[in-house]
Amino acid sequence: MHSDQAEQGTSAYLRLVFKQVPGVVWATDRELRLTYVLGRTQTIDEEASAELVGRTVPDFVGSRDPSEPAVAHHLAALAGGRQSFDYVLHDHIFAVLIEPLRDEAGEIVGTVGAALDVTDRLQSREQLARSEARLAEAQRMARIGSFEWDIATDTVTWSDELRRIYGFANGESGGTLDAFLRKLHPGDRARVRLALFDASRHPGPFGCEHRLVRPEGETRVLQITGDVAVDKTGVPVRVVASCWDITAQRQTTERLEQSLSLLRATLDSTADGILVVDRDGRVAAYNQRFLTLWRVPPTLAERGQDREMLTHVSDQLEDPRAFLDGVRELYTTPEREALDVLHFRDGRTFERFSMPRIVEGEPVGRVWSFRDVTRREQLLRRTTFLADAARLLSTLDVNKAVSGVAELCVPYLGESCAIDLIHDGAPRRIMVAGDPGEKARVPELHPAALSGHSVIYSVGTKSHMVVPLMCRNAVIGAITFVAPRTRQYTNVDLELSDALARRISLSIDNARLYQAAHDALKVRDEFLSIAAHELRGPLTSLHLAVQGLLHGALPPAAARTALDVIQREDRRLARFVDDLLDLGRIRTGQLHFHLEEVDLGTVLRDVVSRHAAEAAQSGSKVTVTSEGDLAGQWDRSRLEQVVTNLLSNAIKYGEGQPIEISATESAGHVTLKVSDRGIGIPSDMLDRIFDPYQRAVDVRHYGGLGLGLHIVKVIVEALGGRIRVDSRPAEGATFSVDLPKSRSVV
Amino acid sequence: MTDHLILIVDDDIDVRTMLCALLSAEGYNVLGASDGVEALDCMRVVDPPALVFVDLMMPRMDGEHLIRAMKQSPELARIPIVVMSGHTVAGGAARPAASAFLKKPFELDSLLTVVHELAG
Repeated sequence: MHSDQAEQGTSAYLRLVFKQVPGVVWATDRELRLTYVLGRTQTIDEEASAELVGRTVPDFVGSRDPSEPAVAHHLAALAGGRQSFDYVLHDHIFAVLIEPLRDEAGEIVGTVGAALDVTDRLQSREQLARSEARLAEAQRMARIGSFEWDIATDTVTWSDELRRIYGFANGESGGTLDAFLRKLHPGDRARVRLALFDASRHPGPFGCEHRLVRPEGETRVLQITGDVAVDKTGVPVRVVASCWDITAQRQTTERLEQSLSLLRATLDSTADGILVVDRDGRVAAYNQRFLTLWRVPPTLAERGQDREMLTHVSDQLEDPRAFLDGVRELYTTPEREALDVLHFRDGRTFERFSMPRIVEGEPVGRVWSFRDVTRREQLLRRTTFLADAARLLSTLDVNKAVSGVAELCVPYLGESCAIDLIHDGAPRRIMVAGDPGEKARVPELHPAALSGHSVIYSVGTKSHMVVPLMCRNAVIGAITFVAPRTRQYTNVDLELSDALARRISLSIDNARLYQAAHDALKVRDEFLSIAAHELRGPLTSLHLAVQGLLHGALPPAAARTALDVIQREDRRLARFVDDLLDLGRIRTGQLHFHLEEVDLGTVLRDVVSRHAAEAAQSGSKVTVTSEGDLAGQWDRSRLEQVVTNLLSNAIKYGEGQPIEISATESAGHVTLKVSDRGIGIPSDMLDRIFDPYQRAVDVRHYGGLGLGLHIVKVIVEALGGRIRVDSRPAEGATFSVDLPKSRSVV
Repeated sequence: MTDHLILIVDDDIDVRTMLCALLSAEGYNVLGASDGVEALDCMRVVDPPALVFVDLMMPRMDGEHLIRAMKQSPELARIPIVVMSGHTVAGGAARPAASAFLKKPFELDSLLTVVHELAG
């Protein structure tokens, strides 16, 4: 009874268990007849299981074949073995345990078994396997591999796809972390190791890139991203990471970066300023040159509003309104191209080209390019200016040329301009151009110009510039420019002014040379005319004397006179020829001297005596006084020439008044003075009287070649002496010759 | 007017000398003056000459001025004048007033022809 109660208690407890878990317990005798069944399955409820008592196991499984698993395991249990196996019944899977049933003596009297329905658990396992397969498939398709690093055991395991990506051998499985890292690119191993260790110490998502050389030698780039698994206490236990091949993306990115860099380099290396805008006026791109040209602060450009920039830049232009109108018009006609020129207040000039940006046939914006053509424009204007100046200067009228150029310089080179020319060693202002008010403000010539230097200088707040006019290394004048208040002269202006000055100088030199040549020709013609006339006097006398004698037209006394005339005219002509020859020798530097001991007193007496008749005829009385030793080392005939020419002049211009000649000695010098009381010399002629062909009187009144005093001066200076003249009109003239007594002749 | 008086005005003493010698030999009375001033002075103190030879280029008063002065003087205006000059074109203003022109240097024949024609 007690045992029944206990049995009933156990059964009740098992029933409760099997309500929770599908399963059955049973017992058999040695014939495998079920002696006890309790429990339930999907197909057998509790009552049905109780009804199984009495039936045999082969009966229950429907097979008498001893190799049927259930039967075989029961039989094996009867033989003493503990059996544990899975068994499928009615599409359910059971985990079955069968053991021998022993009596108190230990004899096997039957079997006991227990079966638990584990169908659900197995299905979960299958699902897990399937999802793992699907994950592998997904990884393969996405080319994403994965690996795990078990920190405690230092074991790395990886997915099939990772194996494929990394090119590991089939069947090759994980190893230590170091072994895994050794498969990476040597240059990246340390970095990946660091990333993994960092992650293991500071759990959280991480990522890094590394390169990999595949077995066939190809280098790939891989991206790793991962996270760290921790245990319940927060200690990291596993690093889990996925990795994928980003070589293609990397190559694409590099190509993109390369083309962007190429575009940027192209933009930045062009000499033009480039601005790209979209249809709404937003700035899409620009280059540094654009900012520089337009003096746009980078912050303004960064804000990216074209309209904001337009306001900034238009203020720099000469005509902001026209500029803004032009831009507006181009924005309203997006497909138009345009080329125009912009003039800046500071003198710069830009060429602006604008063309639409077309994408798939539609204008999406506009590209503006700006080119600084200031220098080109300057050169063009400069060339035009110089060409105009050259045209104005192509005249022999210096004043007209200079005036024209001065006018041309205003306002191109300044608001006023003055030209000075050197006259008698001092600058004289001959032309001022500019507004009447400004003209008066051109300052006096800057002294630098007189020493041949160009300078930029300031007077008050205004910039000034002066450049000398140079002719064959001599300063002949200067040109001064005054800039308007808004302008500062630069070296560019100075260069242009120098170029202009060279042209002006050349023109003036040309005109002066022409004038000199013209004057020289005139002097030559006059000289020839006078020479011809001078010859006709003696020739007339000779003619008449000779013909008178030949034709017997003269009485004996007159015949003697005719012979005297012939002799005098012969001498006159000889002297005439000598003068001409001397002039030629002086011109070619071939006037020769034969120095010997000569006494000036003797020379004076000889010459005066030779001219006695001539003097008497003129009515002039000639007196000679001498004092001291008058001997010196001179050329006798040249000294005679000096005295002769001075005496002849005194007789010629002496108006019959007394003529005084004196010679005195002092300190190695002798001084010869020839004085007359005749017509004298006008003061403006005193300087020129020793120049060839010069005469102080009208050639209609007094003949002569105008060579006498020139020859005298040349001889005196060649002998180391000096000659001067003191004279006033109508008060006669005194010529003083100072000669050293000995000197080596130059 | 005194017949056969001839005045020679030339600053070249040799020209004066030779003309004096040659015309004296022809039987004329000959006076010389070295410029226009001297010539006028001379004609003021002697009787008006039958003929005056005038060189154009002279000091003080040249030939042109002398001729003009003579033409303005009632006593001298009718005296025939022979201009002597080296310049064929010179004395342009004086030339119409001259009765004859001798271009220096001239021949003895030309001189005598002119003298005989104008002074008889």
